[in-house]
Amino acid sequence: MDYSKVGQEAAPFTMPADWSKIREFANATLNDDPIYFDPEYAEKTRFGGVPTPPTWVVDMLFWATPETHLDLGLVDSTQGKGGYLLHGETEWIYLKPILAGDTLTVKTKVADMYEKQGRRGGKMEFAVTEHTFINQHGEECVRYLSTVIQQWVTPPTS
Amino acid sequence: MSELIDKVYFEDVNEGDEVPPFSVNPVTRTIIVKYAGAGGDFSPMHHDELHAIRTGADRIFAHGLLGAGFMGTTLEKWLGVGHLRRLRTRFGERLWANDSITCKGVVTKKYVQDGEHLIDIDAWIENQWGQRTHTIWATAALPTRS
Repeated sequence: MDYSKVGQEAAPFTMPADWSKIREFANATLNDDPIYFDPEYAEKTRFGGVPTPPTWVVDMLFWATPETHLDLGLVDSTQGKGGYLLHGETEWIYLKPILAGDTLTVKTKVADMYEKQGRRGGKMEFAVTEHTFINQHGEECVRYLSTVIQQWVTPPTS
Repeated sequence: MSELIDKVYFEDVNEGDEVPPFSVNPVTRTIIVKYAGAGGDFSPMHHDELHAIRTGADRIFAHGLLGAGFMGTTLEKWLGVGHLRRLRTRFGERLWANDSITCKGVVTKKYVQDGEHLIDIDAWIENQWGQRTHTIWATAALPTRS
């Protein structure tokens, strides 16, 4: 891990909140609330449109491109170096509803990087990223924190 | 017409109340692959069995975020949509393909803060052996009857 990245911000990127992706996500998380599947019904609610399921914003993180992605020096299982990543913890803080048709800007920064002694010996490395989702009116809608743990199939020799 | 989507009122909830449990029995490979597509996470550990086995696992396992999504669903089935203020998940035991899980929870605190009527919930997901795959803390704002 590259500890010099703490505090670094990625270039923000912008994505639409499409009803099709919201509906697909509700379906995949077995959420059958009609508000996600029937826009006419959703319009009659206090949201005035189709909102997004609680964990939906994670959907957008994979839209980051090499230009908007922060390289933390993590080693995942596709690199064939014996490293793999585990998701340790996540948190969503909800400030305003995100509705289908919104355009969201995603701001990402490295909130923290640290190491701890693992239970079975050897050190464990943690990286915490913070993503803020801002709508087209400049309102912060969701703040999302994610902690990733670097793991090794066999401990690195160096 | 908020009455369309409000399911539970602040007055009706007490500390110690249980969240109506929600089970997924079992979490099939199809469910996991559907979530990969919907959520956009194509890490091969979650869909490529040969890859997962080469890294020492015996089969694919679900994205930790799929469980968090199931808990979001569990809480919305109970409270209705749009009431969550905060949701935090710690990932525990892996959720292996074909395991059966139940999302559970209990109300730990009921209070008023900054004009909002709030409840805190301790929640968790357990597999068929009673092991916790997720430990979850949530805060929700509820409507009042008055």
